[in-house]
Amino acid sequence: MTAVTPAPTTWPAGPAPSIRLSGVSKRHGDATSGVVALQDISLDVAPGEFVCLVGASGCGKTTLLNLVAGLDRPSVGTVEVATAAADGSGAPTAKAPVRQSGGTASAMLFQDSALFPWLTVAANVELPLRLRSVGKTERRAVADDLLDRVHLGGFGSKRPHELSGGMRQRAALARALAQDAGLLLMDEPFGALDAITRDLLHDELESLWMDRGFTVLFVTHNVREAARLGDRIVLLTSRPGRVAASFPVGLDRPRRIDSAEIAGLAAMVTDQLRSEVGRHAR
Amino acid sequence: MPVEPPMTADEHDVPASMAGARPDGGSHAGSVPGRASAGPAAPSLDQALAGLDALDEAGHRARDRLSRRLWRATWPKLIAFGIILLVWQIAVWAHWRPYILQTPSAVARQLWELLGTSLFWQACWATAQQAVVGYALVIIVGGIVGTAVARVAVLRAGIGSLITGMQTMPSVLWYPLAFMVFGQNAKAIVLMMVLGAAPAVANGFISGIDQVPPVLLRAGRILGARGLSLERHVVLPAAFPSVLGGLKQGWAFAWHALMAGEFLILVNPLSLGGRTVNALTQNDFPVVVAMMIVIVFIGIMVDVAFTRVDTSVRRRYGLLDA
Repeated sequence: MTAVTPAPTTWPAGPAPSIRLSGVSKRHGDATSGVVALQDISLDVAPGEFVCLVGASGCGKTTLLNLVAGLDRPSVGTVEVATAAADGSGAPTAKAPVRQSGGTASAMLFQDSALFPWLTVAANVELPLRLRSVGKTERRAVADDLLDRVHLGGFGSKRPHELSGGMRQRAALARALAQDAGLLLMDEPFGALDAITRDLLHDELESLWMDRGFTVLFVTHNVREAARLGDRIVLLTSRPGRVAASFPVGLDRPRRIDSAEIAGLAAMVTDQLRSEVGRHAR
Repeated sequence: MPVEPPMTADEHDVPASMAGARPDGGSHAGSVPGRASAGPAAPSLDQALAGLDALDEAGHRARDRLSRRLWRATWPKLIAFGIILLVWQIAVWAHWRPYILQTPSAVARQLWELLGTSLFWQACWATAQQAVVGYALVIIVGGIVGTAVARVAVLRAGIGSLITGMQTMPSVLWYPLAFMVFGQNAKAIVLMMVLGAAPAVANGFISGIDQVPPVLLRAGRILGARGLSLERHVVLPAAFPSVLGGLKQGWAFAWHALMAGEFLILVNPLSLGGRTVNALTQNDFPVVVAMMIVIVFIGIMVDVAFTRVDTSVRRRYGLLDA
């Protein structure tokens, strides 16, 4: 089935959301000459939901992720993030290998894998555990498990620069999972990869997400990718970033990026994105 | 991005050109209608990823054998050394400065003789001690000043450019100041070393800390590193290659300052510099040149050691090709 009717931007009443943004605005710089990156964004993400944010450049995607990650504060409004699986709602990380009380609230994946070049791949994956004072043997076991899970078993002793782009992103994914955060923020993580690799990583991410049921907030400018992965596509306007529309994606999983349903949905989102972008023509 | 018309849910029998189209324009097989549903022949994700990884792996070249690399690094040096000896010998044959200049073989004999005396090794030991004490202080001062300047905006505005400026000053320029402050004393030499070399070390720290990629800082914070643990797990390791560069340059400047100090301040007549000045006053050409060779040799050896560490760190960080 294809459900392509725009939905209200807020989540209907149900379980407590994993992320709740209420009337969030963010201005960079001072009040007169500053730039408004985000304006009056309200968005709820349910536990275990996979939400894709799509927008052209200047829609404040990275700012939004920074706010959710707690790296930055909104100028106006509130950002609430449920702490990992601790609230017991839908047991998002029930299958995760480590259940540390000190788990960070959110993990993030970047376009550049952001692996630390001075550490081996395995040490990179162990680092979040090390920062939480998890013992050496347990750390090693968890890292081995996670590397196996992203099909990088046997590559743990390599340095990041010895891996291909796709392998680095998988290693970064393993490192993010080691945080056991319950919320995964993704900032155009597959944007720099070739099509074949990206396609396989979509499969990998989808299967991990179905296994573990964490919440995902996925930023991309690739509409097809959003339709391939998301439970819901949220379209953002640019300069300032605002929520323009929200499209639920009611397609069965696992999906294929080349399926007709995804093509159809993507076409619709693309049309609306183009009309949004067109408004900026001078 | 290609624009497709919206289609209904049951439209599985789409034309191949549409089913295979990728948003990023990648080429597609485009021949199988109904590719929209997973075909029975599709390989598993495990298999596909393993295949892709194997393709990526295949490109890496093996490094040459150690002996081969050593030879490739050594022969140009041997030839250069040979040319220097030849020019020297020609100067002797041409009777240029006949009462002073002696043949390379005379100097070599003198050097060989020197190496057999305990006095020579005492000189090496005295200079090495001075070098270690001075250089340790250079690292401490340079590291503290560099970190402080990189972190405190006021300090950077105040002395940031001064540090860069000090780096261009020849260390001999510090001699009058050092001599006036400490007199004929080993402390004066240490002061010359610190003033001459600490700026280079400080600059290594400053540029290293400045150039930590912001995405690594962001990643570190997300992973749960804050404050001191961010410094320890992200900032310092990320800055390390540049810090090492500063240490290497700092060593060169410290060695310059140490030699200038030993020649000028004459604290210890038993040091390498002291022995050389002694030989100079006696017009002993072979000893002067032999000591010079020793001093250059030590400098080169330490530099080679630094370069090796530097190369291996860069290779580990992926900052070198191959």
